[in-house]
Amino acid sequence: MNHKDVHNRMSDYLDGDLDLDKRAVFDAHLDGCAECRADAEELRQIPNLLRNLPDVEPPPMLAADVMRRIRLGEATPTVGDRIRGLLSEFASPGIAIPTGAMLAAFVLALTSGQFQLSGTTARAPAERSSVQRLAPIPPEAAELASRVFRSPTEMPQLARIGQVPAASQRRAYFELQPVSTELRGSGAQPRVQIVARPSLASRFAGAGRSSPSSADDWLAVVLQQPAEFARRQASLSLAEREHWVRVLALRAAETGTTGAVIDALQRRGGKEAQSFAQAFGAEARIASAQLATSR
Amino acid sequence: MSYEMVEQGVGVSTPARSVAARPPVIDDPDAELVAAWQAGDDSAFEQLVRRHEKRVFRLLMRMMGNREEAEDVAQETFISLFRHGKRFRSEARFSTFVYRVAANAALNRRRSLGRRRARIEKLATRQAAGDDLPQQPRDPEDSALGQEFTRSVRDALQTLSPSLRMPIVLYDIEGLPYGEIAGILGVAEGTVKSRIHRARRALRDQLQGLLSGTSGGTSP
Repeated sequence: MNHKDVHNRMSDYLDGDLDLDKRAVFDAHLDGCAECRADAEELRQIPNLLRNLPDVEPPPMLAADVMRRIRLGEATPTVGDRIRGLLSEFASPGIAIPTGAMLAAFVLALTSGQFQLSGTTARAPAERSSVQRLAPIPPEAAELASRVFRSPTEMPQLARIGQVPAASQRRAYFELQPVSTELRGSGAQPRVQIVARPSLASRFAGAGRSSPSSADDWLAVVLQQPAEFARRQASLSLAEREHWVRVLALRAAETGTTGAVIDALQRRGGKEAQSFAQAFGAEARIASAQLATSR
Repeated sequence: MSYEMVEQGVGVSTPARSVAARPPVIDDPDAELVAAWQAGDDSAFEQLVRRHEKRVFRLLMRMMGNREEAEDVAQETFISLFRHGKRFRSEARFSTFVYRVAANAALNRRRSLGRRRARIEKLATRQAAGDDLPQQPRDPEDSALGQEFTRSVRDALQTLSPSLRMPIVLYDIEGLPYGEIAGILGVAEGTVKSRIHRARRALRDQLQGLLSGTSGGTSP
């Protein structure tokens, strides 16, 4: 064992991680080498110095402050959080999903698969250029993707394939859904679909009614037809429901109709309205608190 | 897996090298509270915060170097934990998960606040020139004996890069085993060991004057 070996294994020696044979050789070297012995002596003191640093107490209000911020909605998951959550459900428990690589193969499809979103590295150059020639993707999908891929380097190229009527784009509500997980080598490459669903407004319009256009109109619908509203809400995706809960709760808080809305949903909304009423109530409390602090 | 990936992973995914699914940890003392919280009981989360706040705060004090930053990052840690923790699925101890979220929060904070970091570097330069860091009156360390000594060790720790400081704090101060640190940082166990080794050598060089028996080569 030479100086270099001793130097490299010193931490193992000091932490008692060497087996007995190696330890004996190590000790023999230290006995005959003042330089390495001094090195060992000095290094031995470092963990003790660190361990003897005086303890520190957390701020007394830490837990209370954290809970207050949580109640104000600061821990509400973002779209990015949600997609990572969904993807983690797909990956087997021991596999890491780095944000950048996980969506290298990323498929954006309208319900019929008309849109494609692909990572720049995932496609052959010829194929990529043919994709790039197509018209831009809908702004809603681009916005959603930009929220999921927070940095430009992570952001895959967005491209549109096929034709989608402009009106349906505006009415569509975009949502990310994991569709498959491909495991290549040690990394996971889940595929994700952006699905466009008709918006709530278009569903009402499709049922032969004039489509409500503002949050106020929708609040009137909730107050007048809570059961009908709840039935249609129940058919929406989670993301859509959260959107509507937030929009309506904010407007209700602004107009002071929170109590009336909850009352209508609870009394006349039927079974399907109860969970919406609960989420609405929680969101309205947050909105009221935010309004109160901003006034 | 690099620090960058650990940052982005927000602590939910486990290191790439341990591809095989691990069995659930059976004896996690937090299991009951975690289950209650995941079922919607926020008061269970508050209890979890109280249970882990001391360790988290100690880690963050050593990582951030001052109380104000450590407080901010501690709050961020627990809010992030609340946001992502419902995805926690007992593949590791909950306390490991908490450390991982705290480590991510600390590393993220140091990266994202470039301006603040520049200020800290400026302070460090001033300090090196003999102009000491301002007192932190709320920090009980300053009322303890051996203030100078404590401050030297604390300051030396701050001169390490975060990638060296984190493992040595987790090992030598928090007393975690190499394997758990590897899980927290998302690096191989060998990497953890070598970083701790390098960190100790760097600290030894910084603290030369405080160490006893530095020149004589006294026998162990």
